[in-house]
Amino acid sequence: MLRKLLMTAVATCFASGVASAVEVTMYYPVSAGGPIAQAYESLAADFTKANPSITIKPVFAGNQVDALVKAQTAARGGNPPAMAIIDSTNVFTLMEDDMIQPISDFVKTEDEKKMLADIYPAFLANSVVGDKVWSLPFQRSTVIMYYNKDAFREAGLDPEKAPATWAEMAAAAQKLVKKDAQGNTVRYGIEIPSSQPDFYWPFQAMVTEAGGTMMSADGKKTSFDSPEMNKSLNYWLSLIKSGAMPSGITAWATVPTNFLAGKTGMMWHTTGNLVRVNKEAKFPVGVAMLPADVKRGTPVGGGNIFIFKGAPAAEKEAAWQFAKWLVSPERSAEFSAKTGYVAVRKAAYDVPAMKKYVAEVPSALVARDQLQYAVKALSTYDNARVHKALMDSLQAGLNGQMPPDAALKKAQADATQILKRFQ
Amino acid sequence: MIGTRSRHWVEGWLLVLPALVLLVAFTHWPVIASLIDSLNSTPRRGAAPNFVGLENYQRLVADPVFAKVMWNNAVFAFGTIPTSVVLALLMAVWVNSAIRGRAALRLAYFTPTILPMIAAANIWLFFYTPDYGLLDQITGLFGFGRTNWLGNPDTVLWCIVVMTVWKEAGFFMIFYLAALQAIPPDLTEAASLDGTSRWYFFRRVTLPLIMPTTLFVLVNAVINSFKLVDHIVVMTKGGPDNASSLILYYIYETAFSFWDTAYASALTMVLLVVLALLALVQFGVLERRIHYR
Repeated sequence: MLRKLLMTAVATCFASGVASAVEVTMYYPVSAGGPIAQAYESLAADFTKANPSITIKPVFAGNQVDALVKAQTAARGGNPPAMAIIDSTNVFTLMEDDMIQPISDFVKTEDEKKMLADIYPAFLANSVVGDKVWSLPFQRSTVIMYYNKDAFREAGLDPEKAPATWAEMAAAAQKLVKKDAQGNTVRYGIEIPSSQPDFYWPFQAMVTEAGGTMMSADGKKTSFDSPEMNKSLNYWLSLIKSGAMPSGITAWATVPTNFLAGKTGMMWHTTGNLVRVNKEAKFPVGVAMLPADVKRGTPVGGGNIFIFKGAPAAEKEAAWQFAKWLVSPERSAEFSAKTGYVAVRKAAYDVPAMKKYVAEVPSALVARDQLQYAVKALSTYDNARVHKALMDSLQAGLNGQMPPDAALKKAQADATQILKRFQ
Repeated sequence: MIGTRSRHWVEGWLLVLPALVLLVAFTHWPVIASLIDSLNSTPRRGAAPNFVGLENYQRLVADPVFAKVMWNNAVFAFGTIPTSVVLALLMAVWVNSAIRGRAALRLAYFTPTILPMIAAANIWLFFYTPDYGLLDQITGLFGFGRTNWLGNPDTVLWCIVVMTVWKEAGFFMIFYLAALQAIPPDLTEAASLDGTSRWYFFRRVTLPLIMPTTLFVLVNAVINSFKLVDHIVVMTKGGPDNASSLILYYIYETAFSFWDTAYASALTMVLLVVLALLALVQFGVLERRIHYR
């Protein structure tokens, strides 16, 4: 009798399991100050409303590094999330661990191919390895320059004209410095984050502007001791030396807070903070492309959608449906307007709601327009380790514990050692 | 006769079994597994690990970051242990005396202990923030400029030490307070009849009587100086340039950021040996000098 009851119970469970919704777990990171969590929650709810057979469970997974660690740990434990939004630079690491399934495997119809073709090429740069697309861009950004127009006016600078070259920026930063009676700086000219794990990113912007590159396309070689790297570190140091930039390490999350509090006239930060900055600033905010040395430049940044190989096929298929829906022009436009991240689709900027938003907030276009100068973000095999080797040395250089060229030589030597087993 | 003895034998083992199972599953087996992992290479892409002997330990000797985190940990231990223990004793003696608002004072000293480390670290992150952090606002009143407390390799570790002492001292105070209250009042009376000075009494009677507590507190303080890692994650992530990284944070980074499990196992073995040696010193040497009632 008991046995029969149990059997019935088990059978019912199975039957209801098949009939009920597929549940897709999605990890996502938050490394900017915008209302990102709310944006994902509402996107997930809207998707389920339109597709009742699929439930999306967005899981906040910390910052970019935490999100990666969490997904890797779950995958190693045999229980990977079906999808995760992870910093696009981790593609080689995830490939090496055989954890992800290429997006190319899912792209079958003409519409899907068109979708891929409509994504800004700069955003796809970190996704393509060999002949395959490994991840789908979504929560993407670039470094941009924010400046305080009131402070510009006060310092006798033109608030409608952002510095366009390194020399102009250094000069403007110098003018923006304000000191109190005791000679203590109450407002710096510029702040650029130099804390880990993000330091490499604005630094790569400088290196790109100086005309250099940081790594080879196959992710197996770095060029951390190049003349352009030296030039960039020296430029950074010169900003500190002139008193226009605070000394020591400036934390990623502190920079926007300082900017909003009027403690710095300009900052370099992610476009992912655009909505927050525009909302919270008590002064008119200017947004501009990063200044040029020999050319303009920025790395792309932010998270891509990765689909994990080890998840059940039904979940992966459902994740792909959700991923496609997220990257649709309407949804990527919605996400962009809510957060400040750049919409990854060209077509997103033709969506009426987006047109209206851009008309109200023209600064939302700066990051998109800057994409023509954008390069792929520093991405290698054993990515976390190479990033850390570079940033440890950069920090030592910044804090004067090592001369710049010695610091960069050490970074290159360390990276070469780490990448040795991939040659 | 023999039957009874063997039954006792079975009963004995049955009684220790639950504890034994837990101990083997969560302590002994992981240690052995780490030892085995540390003698093998890190498995990559599904490939089985192969035996490499002491290669991971050779890497360790040549690794400047390892040397740095060991040094940092020594500084951290010497910075936190004596200060927090002495401070705990002072606070306990004070809140044990008959003063007004004693309960409020005890509560105030104990509050940091109740806070989770993550919360405490976030509070101190604010204290140390340049310009508008509490510390800079106070020094600002005296005309000092901004200090980048956590962004400077010379100050960052000491900032962590101060924060840890603040967090730990209240916890140790509770043990001292209990020990002080367990001292029989007739000893105090006898001493005052003999006209003993308070300092002499404290040195010759109180201190020896609370030595068992001191040993307990010391053991805990030493373990904590190697065990605490949450505040590093919240406040500095080991930076700048590993200036505030401790051995456990380095193990975490190696294992879960770089996924170099073999090397992380070798680091873990070093940590285990260090802790075992410290425990030997504490229980072997100190305990013999302690008077248990």
